[in-house]
Amino acid sequence: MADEPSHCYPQGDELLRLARRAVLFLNEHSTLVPALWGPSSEGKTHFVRSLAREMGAHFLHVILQGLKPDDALGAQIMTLDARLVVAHSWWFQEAKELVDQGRKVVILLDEMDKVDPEIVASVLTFLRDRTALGVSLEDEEAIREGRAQRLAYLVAACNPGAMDEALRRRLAFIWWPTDVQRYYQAAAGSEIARLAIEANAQGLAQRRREAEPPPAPDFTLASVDALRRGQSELVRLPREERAFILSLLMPQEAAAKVERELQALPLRPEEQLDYLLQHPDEAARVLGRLPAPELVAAGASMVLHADRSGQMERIPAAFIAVLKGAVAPALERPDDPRARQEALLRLAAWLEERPDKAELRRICQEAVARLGPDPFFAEAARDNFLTFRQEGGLPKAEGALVDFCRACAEEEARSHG
Amino acid sequence: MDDEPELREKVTRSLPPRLAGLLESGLVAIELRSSKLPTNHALTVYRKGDFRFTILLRSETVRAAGEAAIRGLIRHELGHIFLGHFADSHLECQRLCNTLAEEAEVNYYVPREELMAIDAVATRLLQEFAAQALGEDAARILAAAGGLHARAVYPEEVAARAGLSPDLPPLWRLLHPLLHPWPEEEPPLLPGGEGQEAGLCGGVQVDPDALAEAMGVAAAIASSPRGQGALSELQEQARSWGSGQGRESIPWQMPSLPPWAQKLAEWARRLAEREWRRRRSRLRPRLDVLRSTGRYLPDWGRERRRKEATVVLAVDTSGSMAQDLHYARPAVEFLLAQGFTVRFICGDVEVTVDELLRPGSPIPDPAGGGGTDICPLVERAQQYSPKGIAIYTDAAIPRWPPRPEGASVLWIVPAGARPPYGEVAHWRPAGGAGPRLTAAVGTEIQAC
Repeated sequence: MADEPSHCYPQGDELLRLARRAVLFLNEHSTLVPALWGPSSEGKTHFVRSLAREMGAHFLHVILQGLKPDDALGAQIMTLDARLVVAHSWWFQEAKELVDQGRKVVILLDEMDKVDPEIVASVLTFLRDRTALGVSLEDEEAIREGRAQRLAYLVAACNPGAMDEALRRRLAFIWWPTDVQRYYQAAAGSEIARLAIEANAQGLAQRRREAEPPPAPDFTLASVDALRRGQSELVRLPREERAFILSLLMPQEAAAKVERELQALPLRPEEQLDYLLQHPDEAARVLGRLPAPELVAAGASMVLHADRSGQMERIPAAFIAVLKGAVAPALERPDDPRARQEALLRLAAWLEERPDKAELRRICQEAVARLGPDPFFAEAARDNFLTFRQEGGLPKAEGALVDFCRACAEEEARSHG
Repeated sequence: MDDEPELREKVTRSLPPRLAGLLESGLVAIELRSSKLPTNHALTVYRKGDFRFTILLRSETVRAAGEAAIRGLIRHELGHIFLGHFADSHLECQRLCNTLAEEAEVNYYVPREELMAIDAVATRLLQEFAAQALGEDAARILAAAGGLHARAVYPEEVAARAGLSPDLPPLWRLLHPLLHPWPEEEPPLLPGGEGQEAGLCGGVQVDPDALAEAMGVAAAIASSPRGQGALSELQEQARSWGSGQGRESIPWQMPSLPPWAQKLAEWARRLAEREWRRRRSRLRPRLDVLRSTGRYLPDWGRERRRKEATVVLAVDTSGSMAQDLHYARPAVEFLLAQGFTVRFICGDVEVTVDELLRPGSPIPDPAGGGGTDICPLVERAQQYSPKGIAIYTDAAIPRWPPRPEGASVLWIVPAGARPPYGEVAHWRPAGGAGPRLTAAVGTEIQAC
């Protein structure tokens, strides 16, 4: 959201709707706490209060600025009879009582940017686990497993400025810049108020232009957890609401890409290619049964997919599987000259120079450089492939393979020697 | 079979070049097989050691189908292969929800006109089969009752049922978590292991221990040049939702109500009083306008209007009705659509739901499941002095309620039940009457 031009950002009712949805989603499906980021007197508290009213929830306003450790969440105290008991802060006590009665509560943690450094740790613990001094507001496990409903909703509010890094990563920022539409809504038919807004319109527009956006969200494990737990709801939401929530969980470009990919058509063989990469022996067996053009295409897809999906460590095995698949006829029928000829043709098809194989060649060369000794190559160098030279034809393919096998055999000998 | 080469030629001819090209690669083969039952019109199997997928097409279907239907069937089966509907993740769930999600995902790539062509031919074959098995008269009655209608799984309907956002494509991986587990109380659809071919299942049926081979061949198909061609052919259909090349005539299929619903409608119409009212002159159509448009009819200045009527629909929600409760909903919808105000009463041994529904009102979910006694329902119904009471029950009741005074009574009961008074309409009891899926082609046989 950092690069979001303020004039493109949702305004008025649209922002209220999206923010409402995001607050509910984040509370119900994630450990991240929604945080309204904007200058003071722009209606953040009013929004949370009206949200609580709509939900039929009790509203608790907690101002974190200036709170000391004992006030923020509570303290252990010693009673007159020398027992240690936990005394929670007023708001936690009240929230806990409401939740225990089965009533909803919305807690606004205001001035989150001005939290005393001494209480950052306990606030962080509360934000992450919703516990204070070991006491939990709700049964988080039951909520996570869908056995219970969320009753305590947290919303943070902060003014633009520096913020503790750890706190920042626990929050999902909803930008709350100056919004002229909101001013008109607040005027609600008052002629004088309307005239005043028009008189100040330029100043308001200027303030919006200069509004400081919140820091771009990091993509963390908490984001993944939210997406996993909330998938069923996300896919039911209209596109704008889904896109807005995604933009709170990861950088803007990534969120846009996820939304694009969601809309994209699913006929892609990634899953099958992953399977082949994970099972190279099976891959070799299957590739050995394919006609030459299909062998080349499937082999290339495997290697390219491994490269693009970051499975670099699987490229050597995939490369060997393709070679095994190419020479499969010769391996299956070693005494049949026609099988060897067929194997050579398949090998030639795989090794054939083509402009579109430049990337593949680069990837394979890098992978070959990292190849360890493989028994396949040692065996091939000793037995079958060296005899291809006597069969004549296709010296290029043969030469490439022979050189390759020799290099591998030598490397193996060195490692054993 | 004698005419197999001709049928094979028919199949090849019906395919667009890019789909036919995939068959030439040898990675997908088509086999024709004969089957008496008009289900499983097409099925894809992977046999261990084959290193190719085999699409089994029912000969009788190919013979009866037009090019669009055959093309749709092949497209559908290729979709299963491309989408990997045999991978581990798909085998984890063997319930109806999995099949529905798979069928919806695949049919997203089948143009609408081809789906409708499949519907038409499957329905025709079903009716012919019924005529042979039951006799023509019985088949005609069944067809009129809407009991012999085959319908494909339409992706948008499944997506709507699952609540999927309309801006997202109906992918299996999006749909299945929304539908699962469904239905919860029923056993898994697939028996698993041997004999799968004869069972009802979506996706591709892979021989035991051949999953790895199948995955490899599917990957090869999807990444090979000819596979890529077929893939883009499928994707283009999905993007445009139809090729615009449908030329086959599409017969009108008027939905027909089952007999019990017809009886209910007839009963309800009798209850609704009508009256003639004088139409206000300024609301009458102007004569000159009518004449100029050629629609002139003598206007008597009167029109027939229906007076508001309230009927009670009492639904027995005892445990024995659990399988058949869903029939009540279309009955309520029908009455509301006809402009009736419906007092909807449900209960087992006591009233659990009692709501007044007007046209447009949401229909509440029935509640109950305990013992059986419909007398409390009828007593409650009488309190509202309705014109009519329709009682929907399986008649597995300890006693019949006393005749309500001043109200016409319609019993909707299974065949064989003999209520002591009132009119009777019979609904078909559970067992063989529920919706079934012939998942191989994703067609649904609606039983009622």
